[in-house]
Amino acid sequence: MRYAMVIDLSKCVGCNACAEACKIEHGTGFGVKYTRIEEVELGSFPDVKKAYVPLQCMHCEDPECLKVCPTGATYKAEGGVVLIDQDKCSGCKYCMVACPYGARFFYEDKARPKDLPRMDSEEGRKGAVEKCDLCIDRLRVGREPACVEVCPTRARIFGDADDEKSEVHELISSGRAKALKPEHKPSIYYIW
Amino acid sequence: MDMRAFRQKEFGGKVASDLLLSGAGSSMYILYYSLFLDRLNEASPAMILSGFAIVLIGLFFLLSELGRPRNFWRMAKNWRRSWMARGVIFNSLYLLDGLGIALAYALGYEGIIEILGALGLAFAALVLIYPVMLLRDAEDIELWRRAGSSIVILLSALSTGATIISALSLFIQPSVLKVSLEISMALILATLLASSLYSSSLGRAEELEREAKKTFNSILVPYTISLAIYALAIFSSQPSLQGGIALISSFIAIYGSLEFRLNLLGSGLHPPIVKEDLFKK
Repeated sequence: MRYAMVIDLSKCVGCNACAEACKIEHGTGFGVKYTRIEEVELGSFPDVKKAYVPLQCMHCEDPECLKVCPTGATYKAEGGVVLIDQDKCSGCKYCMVACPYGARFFYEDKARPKDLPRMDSEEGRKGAVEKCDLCIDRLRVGREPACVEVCPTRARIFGDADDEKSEVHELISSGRAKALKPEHKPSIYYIW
Repeated sequence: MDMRAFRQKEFGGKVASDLLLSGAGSSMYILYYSLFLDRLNEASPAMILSGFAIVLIGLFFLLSELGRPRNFWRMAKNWRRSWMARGVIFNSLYLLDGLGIALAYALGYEGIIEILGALGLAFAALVLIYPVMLLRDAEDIELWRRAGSSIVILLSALSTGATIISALSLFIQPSVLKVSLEISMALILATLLASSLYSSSLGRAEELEREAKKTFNSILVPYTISLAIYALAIFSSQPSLQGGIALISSFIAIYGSLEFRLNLLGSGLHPPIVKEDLFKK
């Protein structure tokens, strides 16, 4: 099984619902967005278009962040999801430097509010790196990631890329869905 | 960010200081020990141990970046994959070796000093190489992986180490002042040549090339001043004047090396995430 997501940019309206749902789901601090929307201007005047490109951790097949992590805090879980063990993270930020997508964030000691959910390891969270975990807790109980569930235009399609009957498999294998920086073999694809 | 290259901002002044001091400290040890390889009994314990002390100061910068000392030891776990983990091990081995040498000097065990001294050379070489490998390991940042960057990092570390030896020799062992001045001058000249040759081979068309050019040019002015001052020192006949000049020049060289590392880290550009070809039908 390999989890993958296809984002249809022609459907994305840049409403930031995915980014906000992610913040609520993970209780991230001020200024930290595991999912962010980049605005891209295309063409030149007068033929100009604007596209919204949601960016997040790409859960690469051979992640640079995992390779450089000195403590082994970054690891691959079921379905190829790249996770961080907060208790092991030393906060060296080497993974942030190595990540080709700028998808990781660092929490200083006092940045995280104390009463938010999923604070399973307060000690480990201090001075540690965090990022999108593809809502692994939701996946384990058969639900979709929060960003997929909340998208009003259904721009995000999620599934098992190894399942030949799945929509994501069809989109990826047909070549309609493209990867950003494909040399890193990401699990998030885009359709334009 | 959009369709432009984006810059790493995580590694800053503290990491640059650690990279500088670990390179300079290990270089000091290698150069000084090599001078006394066949007559170790004439080597000054203070000069030998200062190579370890400088690496230790560098580690304090790293520890202040990490926040808690225990994070340093935790970083050694993934040594099979990560150069940062290997760096922690190399630094620890090198410093333990230094501690052993200090104890052996205190207790007067000459045989042990020779064994640990030779081992220290190997560990110092690993500490010297580790910053280069650490930067090369960030595969998405092209500038850090270039051979030119690696060569200038190594040469500037060696030249900084040599200049510190010449500055310290004024106070600790004046007999090595002249030879250390000559070594410093040769290494500064080599760094200057490597940096300027590499800089002149770069174009100005792309952002990455412009950043690289700026980075390599940043070492040229302080190193040229340092070289000129060393030339004055070598031609001067008065040892006290030579020493004073060496001290000033050493500070300038350290500044140049730090400036180069800060610029190298600051110009760590990732290629654009979103490219035009995504939007081609």
